[in-house]
Amino acid sequence: MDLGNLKLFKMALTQMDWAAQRQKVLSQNIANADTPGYQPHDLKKLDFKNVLQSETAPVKVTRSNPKHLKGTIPEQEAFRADGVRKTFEASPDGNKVIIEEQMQKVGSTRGDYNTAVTLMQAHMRMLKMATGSGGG
Amino acid sequence: MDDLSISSKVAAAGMKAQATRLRVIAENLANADSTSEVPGGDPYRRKVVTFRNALDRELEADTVKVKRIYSDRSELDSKYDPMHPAADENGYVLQPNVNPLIEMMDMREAQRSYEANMNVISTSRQMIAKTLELLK
Repeated sequence: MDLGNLKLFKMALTQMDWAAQRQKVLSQNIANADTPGYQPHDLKKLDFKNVLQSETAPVKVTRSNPKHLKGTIPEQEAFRADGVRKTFEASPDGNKVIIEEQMQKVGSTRGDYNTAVTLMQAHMRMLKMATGSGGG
Repeated sequence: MDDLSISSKVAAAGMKAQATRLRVIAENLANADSTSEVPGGDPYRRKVVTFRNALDRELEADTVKVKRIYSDRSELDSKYDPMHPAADENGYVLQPNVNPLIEMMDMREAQRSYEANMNVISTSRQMIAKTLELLK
């Protein structure tokens, strides 16, 4: 049985993927908080309707031998990260990262992620209860 | 590699860059009074760190690197001290262009960025730990 086929799990998994990828994008912003001219990025808000529609990905080279180099086309990320155009302020060196704002985003992403994991646990308990192996 | 581990690595790169910056600030402060030993010679000049963002091909993420450490060519103060070994024919000694106030301010900023990166790492770790709880 593939849990990913169940709708409840699919939604929670998507949310987890989204939060994990957002965490990666935010960590790049924070690491570059003092890089001149750096523009922060953020993921688009999670929209389940868009997620479930398949998008056409660019053709990648296949690595048939471990000695092959990675292709130049970066692997397609599940969600798109856009540069944030409107920011509250920019420092004189052109850096637009505001640490406070980024930290707040990191916090809320963590909350989203934990919510999804907790939902997953709840679904798991429901399944266990249904199979008669005793739920929580 | 999963996004959460990547975000920890990106934050670690940011911490490394900020630590280099802190090291340079320490050098500046330690040499705040280092004058030349020969008459009319150049004293210590304060060093400045610049950052740039670098694409890590392995992580496929924007990390941060120290671009260059260059010395500040701003004007030097001179002090009248005819008995000093570095005094020129008029009795003036060139002083380093280190301003402790500026260095302190820079230090606080480096500290703040360092802490932000550290928070990203602990948040990512917490998210990974939460995921592992699904196994329970």
